[in-house]
Amino acid sequence: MTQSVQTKSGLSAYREVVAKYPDVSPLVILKADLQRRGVTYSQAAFGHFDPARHLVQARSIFVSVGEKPDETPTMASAGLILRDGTTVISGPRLNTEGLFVVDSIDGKLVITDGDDIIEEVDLWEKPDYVSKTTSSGKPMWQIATPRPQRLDINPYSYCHFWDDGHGCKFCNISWNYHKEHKANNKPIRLDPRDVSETVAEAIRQPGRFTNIMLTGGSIFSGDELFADELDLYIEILQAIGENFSTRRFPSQLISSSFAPHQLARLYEETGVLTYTSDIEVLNEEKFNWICPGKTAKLGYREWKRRLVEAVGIFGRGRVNTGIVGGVETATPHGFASEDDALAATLEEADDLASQGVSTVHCVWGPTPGSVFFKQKVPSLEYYVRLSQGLDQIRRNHGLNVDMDNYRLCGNHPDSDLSRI
Amino acid sequence: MSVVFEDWLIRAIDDPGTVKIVATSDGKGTPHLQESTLLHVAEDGYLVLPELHEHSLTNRNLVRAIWFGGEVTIFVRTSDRRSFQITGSPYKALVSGARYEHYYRLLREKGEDVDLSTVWLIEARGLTDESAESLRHREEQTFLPLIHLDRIARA
Repeated sequence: MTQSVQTKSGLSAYREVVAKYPDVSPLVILKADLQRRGVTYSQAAFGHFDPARHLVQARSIFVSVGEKPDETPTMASAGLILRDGTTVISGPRLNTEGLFVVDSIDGKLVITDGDDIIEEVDLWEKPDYVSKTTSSGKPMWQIATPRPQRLDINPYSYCHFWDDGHGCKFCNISWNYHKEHKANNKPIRLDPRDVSETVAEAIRQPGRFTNIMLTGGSIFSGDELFADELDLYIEILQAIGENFSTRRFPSQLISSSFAPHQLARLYEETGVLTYTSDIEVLNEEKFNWICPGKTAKLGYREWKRRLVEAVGIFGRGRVNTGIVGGVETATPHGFASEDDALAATLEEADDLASQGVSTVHCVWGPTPGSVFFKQKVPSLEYYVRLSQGLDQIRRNHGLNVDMDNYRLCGNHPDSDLSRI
Repeated sequence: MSVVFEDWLIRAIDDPGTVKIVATSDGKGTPHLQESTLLHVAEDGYLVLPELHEHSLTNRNLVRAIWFGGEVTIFVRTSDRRSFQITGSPYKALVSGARYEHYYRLLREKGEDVDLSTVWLIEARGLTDESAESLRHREEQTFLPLIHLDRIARA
């Protein structure tokens, strides 16, 4: 059993923050801390894993679990789900204050922090399609990755910002691609036919999915910046669209920052419903340092401008941007003070919201393969204040965030708070 | 302490002629009532409330209740006009998984073009008989009687 993180008050850090913020959901605070500190499993917890029922094999763009069947007995679940339906995408984190332990107590799977039993928890259940193969013989679990209510598709698994080493410093996408390509023959690019067949199979299961999300690495090539990336997404989205009876289908594209005429083409030629382009860091100076490739190719101000332009095409509530919450405090050039980091981030989020673009944050986890791997994440209280701040900004501007809510995505504590 | 429902009450709750009203409250304590024809008692003893709408006041209030320890009250009036009140707390909000999909399929099989937001599992903590006869009996047994004197005046 690991030790809980104690504070001067004698309470664990988690309990202390819950007590300090009585108006913030304890379950959402727990989610943020689970992602911030990471999770491991006791041997007893593995007794709850049922490979026939639970998702113990998944291939995503940043990490894979259970690529080889013999990994299953000791591997972690692809994700957790709390009693209120809150989704937690988590894994072991290094360089953190201490891992939460998922344990089995009195026959129930629970999250523990030292001796403290925090909450009952469930494992993600696997959908039917993951055991099927496409007509080309590919396992469908390698084509699409399920979340509890969302189907994730990664058409392109390498990011060309890393060609000259200028990828975002928190990101491990290309490291993960090289690793998985070598170990498990992960392809760089998905075939649209495989994607279409996988989606067709996945949506046969009643009640399983409410959204399809596409994302991948940036591709610069083509007649103009990101032209080939756009063509790939259009091709894949058209293949997916073959499976629906409606012109548009619940979907989200998270891509590079396309120019307005590119977005117009994307909207007209596919059935995609919502659009996201992650600006990652809401401060120009920190963005320039943390995202050198994005800075060189487009720049912070143009990235923002294009997000605002996208609202004119997709509509209010259908465009947002993601930030890697906390990465703005990275050393040595990030904000030294959490107060300063929060103020700068929320000021920019408010500016975007005033123009119809909402901001959601994920919890920064310094992952192996990223430049920031050795860094330390901010306090739990920082994430609570950031989540509260982003939620309040959206309320102030009347912006709905259902496109990235607890059910459709589940990786943003701030949009979890928007449930009430 | 959870309430263990007797078989006759489970059957009564399942009876299509029974009226079931779910009462929740918002952050200011304002009550909200919603009739639920779908509410029933599951084999594991939880009250099951399939909620169709993600943004209904009932759903949002139940989210608030599961976050902050709030309660829910369910009023039940059977077809033979017996009334009960069940108090409890939301235990789980199922938004995916086999149990959720079971209720989704049941809804879809009814032929209506509806969707399903959440399957709420509610742990019942209290049960009171609210029938007029029971209320009167409780008043008489527990308190000094409230009797307007004209009722007992000599004719």
